[in-house]
Order: sequence, then C-alpha cells, then structure tokens
Amino acid sequence: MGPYVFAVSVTSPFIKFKNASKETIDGSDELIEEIRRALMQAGQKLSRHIRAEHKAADLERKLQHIEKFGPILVEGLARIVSASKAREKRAEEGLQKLLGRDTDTAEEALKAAEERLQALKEKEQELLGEGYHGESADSSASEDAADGAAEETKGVKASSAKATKKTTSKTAKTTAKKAATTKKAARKK
Amino acid sequence: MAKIRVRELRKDIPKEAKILCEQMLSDLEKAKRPVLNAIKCSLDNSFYDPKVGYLTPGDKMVKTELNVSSVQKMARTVFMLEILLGNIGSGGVNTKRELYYRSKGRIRSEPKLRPLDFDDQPESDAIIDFICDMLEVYREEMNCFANDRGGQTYSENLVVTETLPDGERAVVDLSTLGTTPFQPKNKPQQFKLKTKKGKIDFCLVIESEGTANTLVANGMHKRHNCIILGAQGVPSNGVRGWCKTIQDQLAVPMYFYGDLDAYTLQNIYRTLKAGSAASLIRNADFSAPDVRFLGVLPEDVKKYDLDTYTVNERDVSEARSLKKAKDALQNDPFFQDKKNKKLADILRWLVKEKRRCEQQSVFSVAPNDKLVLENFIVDKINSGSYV
Repeated sequence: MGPYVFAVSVTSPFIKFKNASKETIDGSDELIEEIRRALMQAGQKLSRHIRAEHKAADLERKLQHIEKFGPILVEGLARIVSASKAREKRAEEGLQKLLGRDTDTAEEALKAAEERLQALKEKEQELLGEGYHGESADSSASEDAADGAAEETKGVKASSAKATKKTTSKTAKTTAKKAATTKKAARKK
Repeated sequence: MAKIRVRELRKDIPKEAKILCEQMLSDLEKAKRPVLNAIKCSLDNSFYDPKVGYLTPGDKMVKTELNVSSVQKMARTVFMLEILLGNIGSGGVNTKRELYYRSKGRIRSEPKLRPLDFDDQPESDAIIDFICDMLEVYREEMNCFANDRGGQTYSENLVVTETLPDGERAVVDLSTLGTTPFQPKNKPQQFKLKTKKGKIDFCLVIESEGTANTLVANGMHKRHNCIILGAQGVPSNGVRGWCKTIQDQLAVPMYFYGDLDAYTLQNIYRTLKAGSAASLIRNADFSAPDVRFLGVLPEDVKKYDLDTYTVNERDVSEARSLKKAKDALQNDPFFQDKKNKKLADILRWLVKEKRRCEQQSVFSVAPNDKLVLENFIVDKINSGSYV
C-alpha cells in the first residue's frame, strides 16, 4: 500500500487580494476548517475502500493457505503414522471443514465491509443528486474493490471538474458585471 | 552404532512423536482442531534458583491450534519431524544447516511441497526448536547437532577419552598436541576426562579465542597446572557442554575472563554460567554454574588504571546492548537473584558510567612485559578478586 496524496482545489468568484497574484488564498480560519473537514471526510471514505480491499485480500490468502498446506499436512501425518488412504481422505475432509469455518468468518467480514462501502456510496449519491455521475449504483458487491475505488475517484474528479467549470463561468459573469459597473461609474465621472 | 547420549533419557522419541501425529490425525478426522503444546522458552517463563544454578522453565506453554494462520507452521513441523524421525531410525546425524539444505532440496524437487519452502535458515531452525520444545527433548537427542565453534582447549595435564559412535575409544593427551588446540566438537558429553598427575589448579575460560592463544603462545599452560579454553564470543552449545563436562568430571575452580561490558556480562557470561532463556529445556546439561567472573572488574580499572572508553550510544548495537542491560536488571531472574547481586552491581555500574574496558587493555599496563596478562590473571585468582 503506497502513500496517498490528497489534492485540494480552492476556487472563488472573488479576487480578494488585488495586489497579489490570483492564485493567492486567504488563510482564514473558516477556510482552513473547511479544508480540514473535507480532508477528514475524504480520509474516512478512503479508509472504507482500503478496509474492503484488505478483507478481500485476507479471504484470498486464507483460501490459498487451505489449498496449499492442507494436503501436505495430512499426507505428512498419514505417512508418519502409516495411516490408510481412507483415514487420510477423512482427515482431509475434516481439515477442509475446519478451515472452511475460518474462511466463512473472513467472507462475512468482507461482506460487511462491502455493504458499508456500498451504503456510503448510495448516501453520497443521494446528497449530490442527479448531477453526480460517480460509480453506478448497480455495481455489485463482489466487484473488485480496487476497481471500485478507481471508478469512484474518477467520478469525484468528473463532478469536481464540473463544479469548477460552473464556478469559473460564474466568476466570468461576475467579473463582466463588475467591469460594466466600473465603466458606468467612469462615464458618470 | 552406539548412540551418543547427552543425558539419560527415558523418553522414546519416535513413539512419542507417533502418538502426537496420531492424535493430530484423529482430531482432523473428527473435524476437530489439533493443538500442539510447547514449553514457552522466553525470559518471562524463566526461573532462577541459585541452588539449581541455571535458568529453568516455568509453567507457561505456547499453544498452537490449527487455523488458517497456523496451518503453514503445522505443515512445516510435520515435514521436519518426518526427516528427524528418519534420522533417528537410521542413526543419521545432521546439523541445523544441513537440515535446512536437505529440506530445501526436497521441497524444490517436489512441486507439491513448494509452499513449505524456507526463505532462510532461521525459519527452519525455528521449526526444529519448536519440535524440540514440543517433545521436551534436546536437539542432540533428535540427532541434530550444532556446528563446531569455539572451545579450543590447552592443558599439560588433561587426558580426554572419546567414545566414538562405533564404540571405539580414542585417547587424546592434550600435552602431546604442542600448540595445536583440542577442539571438544559438538558432543562433549561423550568425553571422559582425567588428569595425568594430581589435580588441576584451575580452568580459565577466555572470551576471546585470540587472547587464549596468546596466553598459550607465551607458555602459561606450561607454567601453571591449568586448562585454558577459548570461548570465541557467545559460547556455542559445544562450549557450554564442554565447560559443564569439565566442571562435573574434574571439579576444578573455573573462571571466566572477558571484556567489561554489558554484552559480555549478560550474553556471554550469563549464558555460560546459567544458560539462556531460549534454551530453557537444555540448560541443565549446557551450563556450568560454578564458573566465576574473574574480570575485567570495575575495581581492576581503578587499581590498574586500565584504558576505558565511552560507550557510543549512537552505535545501534552498543545502544541496544545498554538498553538490554537495563532490561536485564529489571526482568532477568539471574541478575535479580540475591546471589548474583555483585554481578548486577557491575551491570548497574556499566549502565551508569556508560564506559567499557576491553580484556586486552591489561597489555597496555606494561607493554614490554609479555607475561603481564598472565600475571594479572594469576594474581586475581590468588587474591580472590573475582565475583
């Protein structure tokens, strides 16, 4: 798992500092608090994705362990005690049952993690309304969590791009309005 | 083939192992989780009784129940147990390293066994140790012997009789070996020791093998009726067993001479005298409780104005050994025991002063006197300047 980078985009219809470049951001407490909350929210969402991925990997590892080591263990024991083939088979079945119980627990944990993730996505879609074109609601729980995460990131990116576009056009309009007002004032003078 | 015995063992190892495997197999048939119990070999399960003289295990056990996480360890345990039982059956002997390579070869040649592959030797060593802790037997009783390291011995008055695996006897008179040392090998328990004439005055165990050789090159073993032994750092099982054999069979006063630092005191000397926490079940036959700490002592530093230097706390290994010394004072039953108060005081002095003194610093006291170390050691023994 590599490090994660969060990029925060701040847009505004107002140019607050006239003597500074337009990229200058106001360091007000309100803005910092907003960014903090946004980052916390993003972190929480990310942690759900990661948890689901972990659970899936855990289940995969457990399944692999059973396939790999089970027969070796039983065969070794059978050789040492010179057991019959029938006993060996029974022991192998018993082992599958035992380890199957462990994977059942892992499967349940994975299912719970995926359900939580799905609930979060649905809630997010409700909040953002129709304009949100994130991950489709019908994406199944069994879908690879990593792909899901990638898709959602794409969705968020798309929506934020749209929001930026909207804000930009608004800003353009406001600037035009301001310019017209300034022109009018000059004419009056 | 005559079996080399480390102790009188009343256990039938193949039978015990088969009972254990039988139990595991029948548990699996019933879809019940097999459990393996082994003695917990760690400091928190170590006890020290000065009357016993070495660290003994407590009641704590390591329980390994079959689940998805432990199935690999169990499969490896059964795999290694099969090899060891094969060795016991045929009378074959292997070192831990040989067992690692044997396993590797077999695993690599059989694709089905690939998942058992050991990344490095410590992984296979841990499985061998687990088997021994589980069956409560020595590694040597599983026909697995450590590599020879340390224990080079010199004496003009010692005769060693070795019983060979085929029952033959080899008699080695150490005085006839010249400057060649006698190496006790890794099975010192099979030796019968006797002196050529009278009783030996003392046995000197030197931490550095080189310093032991220097003393011999200067003729110390000819001037004194003694045994000189080089431990070569942390004593191997061979050295520990050899010291125990000397102690039991010759009943001579034994002294250890090494550096004045935390590592020497708690890792080298403590292991030689009382065994280690990692080998709790073996300490009875692999420690020599009568060995005394001859030095270098803090009082020698003052008395002889020995060269010392500050412990470099930036050095990872030195800082770790200082930290371990603090831990030992708090948790090690050996240093906590009243009988070893003086040793604990030395450890406290080292932690407080953060200084160390090498065993070779004595050479600088009189650089032109080649017998300076020999005289220093003999003076200390005669004046009772040891712990």
